[in-house]
Amino acid sequence: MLSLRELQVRFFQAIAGEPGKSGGFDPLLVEAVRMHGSLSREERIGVYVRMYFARLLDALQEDFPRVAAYLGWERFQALVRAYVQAHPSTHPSVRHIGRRFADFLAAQPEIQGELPFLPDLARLEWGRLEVFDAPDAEPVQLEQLRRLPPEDWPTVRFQVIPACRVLHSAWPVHEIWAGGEGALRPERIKPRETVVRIWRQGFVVYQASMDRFERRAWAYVQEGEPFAALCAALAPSCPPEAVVQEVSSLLLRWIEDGLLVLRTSEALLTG
Amino acid sequence: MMPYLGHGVGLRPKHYPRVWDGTARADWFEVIAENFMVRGGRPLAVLERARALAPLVFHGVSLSVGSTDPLNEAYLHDLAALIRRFQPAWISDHLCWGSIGGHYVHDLLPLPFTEEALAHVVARVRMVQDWVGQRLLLENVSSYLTFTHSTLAEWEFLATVAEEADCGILLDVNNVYVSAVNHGFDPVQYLRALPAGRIGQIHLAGHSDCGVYLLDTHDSAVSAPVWELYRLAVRLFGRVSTLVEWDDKIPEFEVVCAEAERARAIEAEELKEADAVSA
Repeated sequence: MLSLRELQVRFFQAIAGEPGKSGGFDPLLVEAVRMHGSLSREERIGVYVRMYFARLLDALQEDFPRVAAYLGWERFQALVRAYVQAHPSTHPSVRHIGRRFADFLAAQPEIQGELPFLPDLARLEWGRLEVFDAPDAEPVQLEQLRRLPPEDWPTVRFQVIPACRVLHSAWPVHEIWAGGEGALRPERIKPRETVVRIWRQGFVVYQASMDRFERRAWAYVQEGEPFAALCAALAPSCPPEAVVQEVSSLLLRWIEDGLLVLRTSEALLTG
Repeated sequence: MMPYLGHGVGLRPKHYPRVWDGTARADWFEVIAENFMVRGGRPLAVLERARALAPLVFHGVSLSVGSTDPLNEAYLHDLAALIRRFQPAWISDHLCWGSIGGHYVHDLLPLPFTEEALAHVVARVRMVQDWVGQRLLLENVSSYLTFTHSTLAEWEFLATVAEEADCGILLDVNNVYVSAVNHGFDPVQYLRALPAGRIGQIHLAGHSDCGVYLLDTHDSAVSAPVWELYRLAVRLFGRVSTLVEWDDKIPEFEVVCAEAERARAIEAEELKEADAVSA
C-alpha cells in the first residue's frame, strides 16, 4: 500500500511529468485506483491529466494571446506542454505560471530561427501583466510641482512608480504588439533597437517607446538623482540654453502619464 | 456554525464593472482568495467596492490542506493579510491536495480516505485555523477516481475531519452528485451522514456529462438532479448560506443572480413545507 506521500508523488508525476517509456502510467499508481463502472483506472487518471494541461494552457493563452497567435494553436499547445513539463508551477496562484515563458521561448532554436522577436513579445505581454497588479502609488501631480519655490527645484528628486517596467529589445516589439494577434507577417518584421516603458495609470496599462534622450533621463531618475544633476547630465545632449526646458517638458510628460512619485519631503510642497 | 447571509453570487472578473459602478446586487459575494493575493491595481480596488456593497466570503483553491508538503507559510501569510484587510464573513477551501514537491497543479486532487490521511488533514486544518485565527470551512470536491486502500467512505472522512479539527463544512451539492455518479454511491446517504451543525455554506453549480462520467465544469446552469439534492439539503440542514458557482462561459450577472434566486425560492418552499409538517 502506498503511503500518502508516495501516492501524491506518483500522482503528480503521472499528471505533470513526462510520459513513461511505455506510454502508460506508473503501475503502482494504477493499482491504487479502484475499478468501477465502464471507465478504466487509466482513463480515470487520464481525466486529471487532461484537466491539468487544459487549465495551464488556458492560463498561458490568456497571458500571451499575441504570442499564441503568432505560433498558431497547434504549435502553441506543443510549446506549452514542453514548458509546463520543464517548469511546473511553483506558486499557489496560476497567475504566475508564465513567469519563465519568454526565457523558455528564447531557448528554443526553432523560435530563434523563425520568430526571433517572439521572446521579446512574450516579455512585453508578461510586463503588461506585471504592472496590471503591481503595488499602487500616488503619482506626483502637476499642481504640487507648481507650488514648488524655484530655489527648491535643483534638489527635487523623483522615484518611478512600482507599476512600471522598461523593456529593451532588438525588435520594435511595441509595434508588433499593437499590430494585434498575429496581424503582421513575421517575414516583414525587421530588427530595430527599441526601448519600451510599460506602466499602469489608474487601472489601465499603457506602453510607449522611449527615444535616446528619454532613455538617458530615465536612467538618472531611476537612480534617484536630483533635478539639477539630471539637467547637468543631459546638457551635452542638447543646446545648453534648451536643456532645462527639454528636461522640464520630459518631466511634464512623465507626470501626465502618472509615472513619478516624489522623493523629496512632502512638506516642501504642501507647506 | 456561520451566520446566515442568504443567497450569494460568486464574483468573477467579467462582473467587476458591475461592482465598480455599484449595480451588482447580491446578498453576499464569494471571491477566490488567490485572485486577490496581489499588491495593487484593479483587483484590490474592486474588492474594496464589493465590500461596500455586500458581505464578502473568501474561497481558496490552493491551500492544499491534504498535501504532504509543509504548509506554504507565504501563502498563509498572504491569506491572513487579506483577511485582516477585508474582514470576510468566513473563509473556505477544499478537502483535497493540489501541490507536492513544491509544485502546484492548480487542480483539486482526491485524497485516499485512510486513517493516515485523516490524521494528517486534521492536524493541518488545526494549524491553518490557528494561523489565520478563524474557523475554516472545508468543501467536498468532485472526483474521478477513488483509491483501493481507502477504509472510510468519503462522507465519513469529511464528517470526521470536521469534528476532529473543529472546522466547518462547505457542502458542494453538485460535487456530491458528480462524485456519486462517477463512483456509484448514493448521494442521499452522503448528505444524511453529515453533521448538520457543521454545514456553514452550500455550493451549487453546473456540470458536464461526458458520457461515461460527469465533469465538474461550472459552465452551465444547475442540473435538475442537483436541484433535487439541494431540496434534501435544505430539509436536512435548514437555512444555510448558499451560492451558485459559475466559472466558465460566464453569463451576464443577472443570469447568475437568477440561479441564486431559484435557490432562494427552493429554500423557501422546503422550509415552508417543513414548518407546515411540524405545525
